[in-house]
Amino acid sequence: MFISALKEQNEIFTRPVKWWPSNPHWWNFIETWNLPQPPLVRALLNSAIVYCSSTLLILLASSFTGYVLAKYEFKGRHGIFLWIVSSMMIPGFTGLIPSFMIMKWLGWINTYWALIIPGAFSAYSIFLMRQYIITIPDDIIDAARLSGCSEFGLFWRIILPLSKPALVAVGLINFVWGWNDLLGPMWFIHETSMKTVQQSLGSLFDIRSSVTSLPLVAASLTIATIPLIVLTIVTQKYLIQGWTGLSYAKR
Amino acid sequence: MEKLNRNENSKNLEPLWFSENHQREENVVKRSYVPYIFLIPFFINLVVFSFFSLGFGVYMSFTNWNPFTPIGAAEFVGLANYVRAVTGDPVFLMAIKNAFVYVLYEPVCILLGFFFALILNTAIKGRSVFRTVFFLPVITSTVAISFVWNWLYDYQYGPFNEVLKALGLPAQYWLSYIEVLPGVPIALLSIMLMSTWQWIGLNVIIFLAALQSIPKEYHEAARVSGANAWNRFRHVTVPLVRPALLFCAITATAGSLQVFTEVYMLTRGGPINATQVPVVWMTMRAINFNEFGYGAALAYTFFLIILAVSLIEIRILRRGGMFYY
Repeated sequence: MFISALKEQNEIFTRPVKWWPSNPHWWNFIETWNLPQPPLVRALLNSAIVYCSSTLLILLASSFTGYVLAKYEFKGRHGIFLWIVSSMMIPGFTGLIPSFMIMKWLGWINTYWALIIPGAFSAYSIFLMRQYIITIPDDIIDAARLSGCSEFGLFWRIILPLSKPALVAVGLINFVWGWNDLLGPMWFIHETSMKTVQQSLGSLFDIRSSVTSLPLVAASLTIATIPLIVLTIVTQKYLIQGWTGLSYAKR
Repeated sequence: MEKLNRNENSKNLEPLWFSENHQREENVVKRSYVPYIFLIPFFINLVVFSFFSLGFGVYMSFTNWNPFTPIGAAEFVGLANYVRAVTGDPVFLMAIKNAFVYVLYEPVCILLGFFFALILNTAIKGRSVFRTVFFLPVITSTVAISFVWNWLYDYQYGPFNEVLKALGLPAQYWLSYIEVLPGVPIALLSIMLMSTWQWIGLNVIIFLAALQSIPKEYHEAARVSGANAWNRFRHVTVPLVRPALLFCAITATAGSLQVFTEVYMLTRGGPINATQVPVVWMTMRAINFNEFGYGAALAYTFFLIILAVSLIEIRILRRGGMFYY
């Protein structure tokens, strides 16, 4: 994919296959800006806005919930945990149609909200956060409490810093997952200017015969994948820990 | 003594997955209102996107609602949507069949993943490089992968056909409806091949983690007792990796039944619905044909099927001695 991005149109079809183009066309990456439909920069921006904010929301909500489930005793705790565990069994597509209707009522179709808000609940993230926070020793929390730390201060100053590995893993998984998702945006986003990266690539697929510039398509694919590859390599250790537990079932 | 009783009681009352809390329970500090404040985001979501949404979805599946009419104007049609899904929609039935055929790529993927993990486990140098290489397809989006594989499957220029031609075999229309097995179009097999390639890395990583958690002493002990390589593999490695194996197999099934992007990108469920799968079909009915009520009925019918499969699998899981949650 990356190599095709550097080639000229006709070079892709030469035989035998060339593994490295004789004359790398780095310019192809710039030229993706000029692809007729849909604007890739805008799509990248859309995706970045949507999935950064939904990831932050997920992290906030799931660390809140996970913390409470791990470290507090209160009425209904077991019920809530049971609900979370069993809702991991509910496949995502069942919620699409009712969510579509709610979005329509709220007037959120074709807005960022339609992708951010429903994505902010993730049973798996809560589950992983709880499993991690439960390993933080109670003594630390008690010590902080005795030193006069408020309950929220406890969360911000003790729990969050200590659960950084889990936060990184959960955040990255959700980000990668959102970034690569096609089904959700297809339901909620129909306007060209609001489309996410994957949708934008998907529509390149539809018009690929008219664009007739496979190197440019390959360049777009590469640009869309690079953020994830960089993120993954930087945080490989955490990501793999988290993925092994999460990815399959979320799919 | 009191402590002992308490543990026994709670064991009787609670499902197994709470068991790890038992020792901690008495340490948990009681603060009456604080937990509920932390739970506000969860409750908002629970009410709006779980209860309300699920309830409304079920109601919608009994109506003929479409997005151009207000929900109040939708006619109540009773079970008609479900009857249509089960008896009057051959495409949906074919889609379910296809989804179950598609799932069969998983065993292959898991076995190959195990195989590669065994090889990687013996290699000492470059393991992290290989791990990255195996992991790249997993994080690359299915949309991008489908692009590349669509080109690989190309009749005229695709490398697969080049290889076939070089071997003197006839070129194939990889994404056509030609049946290679009764009821299985070649396009479906092509999609399965792509998924195998994409997800193998994840299996390798899971198995590699499992293999590396086996203490070296076990193998030493077996060797000292005179076990040869095969016996060590058969009686030490396999039983210890079995939990990971089962975990992969079972979590993957429910996920693979919901396949969407792969099929949507490579074939759009075509040609002539030969590779249709339920989630693509549901999306098409709802988004392209505006039959939201019927789409909801399709969703819940298929959900019940997945649920049944998952429950059966969990039973197998329990019998295999696994308690993951």
